[in-house]
Amino acid sequence: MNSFLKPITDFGKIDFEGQKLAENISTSILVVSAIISLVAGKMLDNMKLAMYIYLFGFVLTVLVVVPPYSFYNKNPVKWLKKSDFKSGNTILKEKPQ
Amino acid sequence: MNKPISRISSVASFSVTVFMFLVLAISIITANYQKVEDVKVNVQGVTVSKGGPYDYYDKTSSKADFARVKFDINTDLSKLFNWNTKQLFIYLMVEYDNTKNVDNKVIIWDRIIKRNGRKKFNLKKTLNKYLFRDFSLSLRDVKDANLTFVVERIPVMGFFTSRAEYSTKLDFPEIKN
Repeated sequence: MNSFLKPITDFGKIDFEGQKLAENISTSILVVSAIISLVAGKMLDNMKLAMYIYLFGFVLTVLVVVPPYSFYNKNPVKWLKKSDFKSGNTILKEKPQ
Repeated sequence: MNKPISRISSVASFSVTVFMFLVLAISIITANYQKVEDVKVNVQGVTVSKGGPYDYYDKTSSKADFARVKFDINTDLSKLFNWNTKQLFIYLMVEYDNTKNVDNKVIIWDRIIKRNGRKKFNLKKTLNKYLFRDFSLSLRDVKDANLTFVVERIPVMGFFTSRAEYSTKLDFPEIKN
């Protein structure tokens, strides 16, 4: 990839631990908001309110999960340096990365 | 979940899955099967006359027998509404047998009851809203005619359920010639 495009293509990327965390957060917020909207609709006899609670849960999930917050980037992948493989590593000689 | 665009896609797709289960749960817990207690349909009388109004699409309308049913309906349907009921569709249906066919069904009157509309009504000496005639031009040999009052519950989301609430016998007059 061209180096001048790197800031654009790498925008908002999060590390592997962050991806797992984002998956868990989005799943739990959506399921909990669905349960809350069902209970609130049943209690208050209001269909519109139930739908708005679920919509609010969806918007909240998007706001929490989509932007690359710093707590999603706490465990960056540590790549080995190129100089570590200069002697004796056959895999790297065949397929430089 | 690496890029923001893939996170938006993943959240949107899973939210639709959860919404499907939410709709299923709502349609199950609000299922509307209770009976209408106070409904009374009183038939005043049936008259049969030959020849109906001119109809461009029906060349037989001048030869066919048309029945006029006069009836009273007194009912209160406000208990059928819960938070997942959009409207009710109520109709009167005549079921009868004759020599040509069995199990004929003709809807002679209907009404839509909206959520914010009037749910309690007392109609007196109402005539059928739709033409009541037979496929075979003649209403002479009608047997076992029943007038049934059916309420179809239409939810905001979920399954339509319709149920016959009241049924009464309909006596057709003797037709000469």
